[in-house]
Amino acid sequence: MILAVVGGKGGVGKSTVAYNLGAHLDAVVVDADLAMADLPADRGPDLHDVLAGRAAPTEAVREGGPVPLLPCGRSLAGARACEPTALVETVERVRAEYGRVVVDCPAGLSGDVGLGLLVADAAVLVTEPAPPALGDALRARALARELDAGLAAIVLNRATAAAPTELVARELGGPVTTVPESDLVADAQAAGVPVSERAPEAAAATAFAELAQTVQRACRCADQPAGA
Amino acid sequence: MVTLEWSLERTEGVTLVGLVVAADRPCRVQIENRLDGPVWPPRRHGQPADGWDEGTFSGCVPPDGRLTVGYATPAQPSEPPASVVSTEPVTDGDDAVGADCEHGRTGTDCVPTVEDSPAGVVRALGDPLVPRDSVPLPEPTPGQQAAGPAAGESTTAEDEEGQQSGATATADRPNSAPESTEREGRVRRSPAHAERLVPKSVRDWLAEVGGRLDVPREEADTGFEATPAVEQEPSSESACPAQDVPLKAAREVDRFALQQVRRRVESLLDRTEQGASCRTAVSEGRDRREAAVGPGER
Repeated sequence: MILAVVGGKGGVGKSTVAYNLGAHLDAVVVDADLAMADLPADRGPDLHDVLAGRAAPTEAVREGGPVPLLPCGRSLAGARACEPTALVETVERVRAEYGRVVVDCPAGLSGDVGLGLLVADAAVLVTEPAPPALGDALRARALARELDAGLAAIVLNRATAAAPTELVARELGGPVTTVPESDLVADAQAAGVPVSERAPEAAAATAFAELAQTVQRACRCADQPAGA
Repeated sequence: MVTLEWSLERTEGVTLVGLVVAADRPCRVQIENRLDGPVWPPRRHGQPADGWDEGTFSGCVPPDGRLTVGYATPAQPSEPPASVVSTEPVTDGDDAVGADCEHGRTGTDCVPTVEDSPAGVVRALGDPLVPRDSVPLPEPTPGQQAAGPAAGESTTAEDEEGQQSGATATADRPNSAPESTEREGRVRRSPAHAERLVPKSVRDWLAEVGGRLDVPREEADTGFEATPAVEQEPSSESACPAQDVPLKAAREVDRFALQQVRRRVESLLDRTEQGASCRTAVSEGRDRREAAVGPGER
């Protein structure tokens, strides 16, 4: 299973969702933001090296942390040296080795987002209850559809009780999971651990667990042959 | 009935070919280049435009009956530059007309039509590569500057290794080599940058020749050629002398080979200078007005 986490607008929480979803799905999270990586990286080969042909995809996966991670380098020179189209083969090879992959796509609707969606079996759409974010989510949804990445789930991040969940579900056409605004989420992300580890009782941890179940249900349905 | 009209323009060593395929009803056609050289198709975001597969273009003549295609090639112009190799009628179930003739967007979603391949994604959505200008070039440290002249004199194995491990090394992007070396701060002098543009095999050969010339004359008269720096294929036709050839004879072979190369280089240089100063239009097309459609349009 390969999931692409997209959203269109920047700053809506794609990386946070991708990381926590990876934790609940026991998946490798690939930070596919080639120019502005978000997820923590340490020394060693990263996605820039893999896409430039200097390292094997599995060689760059960090297994030591709470969530297996294929981080991306942060230098512009490293990003410049990449062959972006190699992302597709890279993610497929990680899937072949680890089984499940969550691709954290960058903001926007450029080629790097399209490549993440191209290789994905399904997409998770992250948005916020704000008109600009919802507009971008609609476009990201359209791109996912164009690239045959079925919509597995929609995440309405930093949502309050008054968030228009039903409207979002109707407009974007998929099941919505709300993740409440919480400092615990930001703290956990800053510490490089999933919320379920840092604050297992937090509402956000429950929300991410539900999201993982929704995604698994959607992917199981998609795997069923037609008419079965 | 399908007809092909063309226009040819030769400029700065490149032939621009403009083609107009006319048909009385919508059909799918395949067009092949007939000129003696590689086809440089129009590109979008660095990828060959939709329909191109090496020297062949496949596309659809729309209901208005005219399909325009263009490409460039280093080959000399000749007629006909291309030919229609296959024609198939468009069936009702074939959405080729719509897909090929509308480069628009789908419905109200404002998302372009994206071909289901990595190259198609980049073509439709743009190359996410960081712009070259945004990559800063660090100043070399004094130690690196000291190392600069040595690296500038010849390409060493260490240089090659450095390129492989450097963050910006991209061996398959020819124009990135100077950038790589600049970033590492190892080679700062412009002659070294220029040298990087010379293919490695040529640099290796010249280094070998230089090595043989460095041997003192008295040793060369009695010595034998050492193992070449670059491993030779048994069937190689390289001018490099094989192992155990007397150095004196090897130098003779080098001299002959260098003369050959000099003649070839001078001839090519003449042609590049002619190409730069002369813009010769060879317009043999039958419908010159259609030639206004450039090689990147159709």
